[in-house]
Amino acid sequence: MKPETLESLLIDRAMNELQPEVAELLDVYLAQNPLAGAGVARIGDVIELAQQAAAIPDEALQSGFAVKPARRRSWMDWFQTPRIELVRLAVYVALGLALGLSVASVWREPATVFVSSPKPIIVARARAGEADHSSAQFWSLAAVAAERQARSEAGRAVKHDRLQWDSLFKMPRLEKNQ
Amino acid sequence: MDQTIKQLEELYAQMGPKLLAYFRRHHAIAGTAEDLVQDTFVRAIRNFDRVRESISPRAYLFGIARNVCLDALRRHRPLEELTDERAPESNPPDDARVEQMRAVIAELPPQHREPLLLKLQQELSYDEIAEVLGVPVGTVRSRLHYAVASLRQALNPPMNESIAKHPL
Repeated sequence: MKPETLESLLIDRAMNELQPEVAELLDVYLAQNPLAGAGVARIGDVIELAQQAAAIPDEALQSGFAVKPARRRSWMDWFQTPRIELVRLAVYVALGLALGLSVASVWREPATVFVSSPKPIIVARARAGEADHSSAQFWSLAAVAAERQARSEAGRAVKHDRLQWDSLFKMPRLEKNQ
Repeated sequence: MDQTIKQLEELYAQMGPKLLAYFRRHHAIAGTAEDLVQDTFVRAIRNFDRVRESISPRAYLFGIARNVCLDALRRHRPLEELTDERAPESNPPDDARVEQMRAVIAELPPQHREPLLLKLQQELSYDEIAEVLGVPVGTVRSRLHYAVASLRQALNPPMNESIAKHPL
């Protein structure tokens, strides 16, 4: 039997983790090799000592888990960032620039935006001394019809101003429609 | 429902003190050990079917307790004064070898020390330790063997010399 195998079996036995049939075979082997059995006592001693040591409350023993606790990142971590991350960042920046330039070239055509000017306000004026009861009176049907017609004409006559925006890097300017 | 409550009470009676001792071993959170035990059981009750179906409810609870402990240590702020309420201490070590052993265990890598302490302090089996740590049983075995070999080397001359003289 290899020394490493025997040692593993002895540790499992000392930890009460050896199957009974394997433990019997190990006993037979140790009976035939009494000097090899010296290791049993040594490992037993070590584990007994370890049990005594572990029974004593000691923060040093409990200070570590197999999982590292979470840690807040500091600005120094930036310098420890792997190079692949920096390369990836550079690729993203280059892609963003290319996309931005291509979009800018499409927009280089002067854009025209129509801006509606406010509709003129029509104010009904009553002249003094025209208080006759003819069909042209303020409250007459003819007057109301004439006012509605004037409104619809004014609505059609909306003027459009042009907003000239030649480049993304220049301020837009408004061209008045004459 | 009554059956569940009864099982839970039995589990609490059996595991409560052990979990309390487990949390109190961590001095940073020893003052909140009782709260952490309750937290562990609250988490266990939320998935009580999994506790029941687990191979070892004890291992399952220790797995939860380990996560609770990690969370508590992460958010630990020394705001409240720690009480001197610890697990019952055994006699102080008279034997210098025990003191030496403590130092050697403390120097072990965490991935080897943790299964060793779960074995020695909580007397969990390899299978249970594997469930607590979420690693295969073979990994637990190899880590424990490494830990014991390290302890033995620190305290004794290599045993392999005597074994090597008598191969099979």
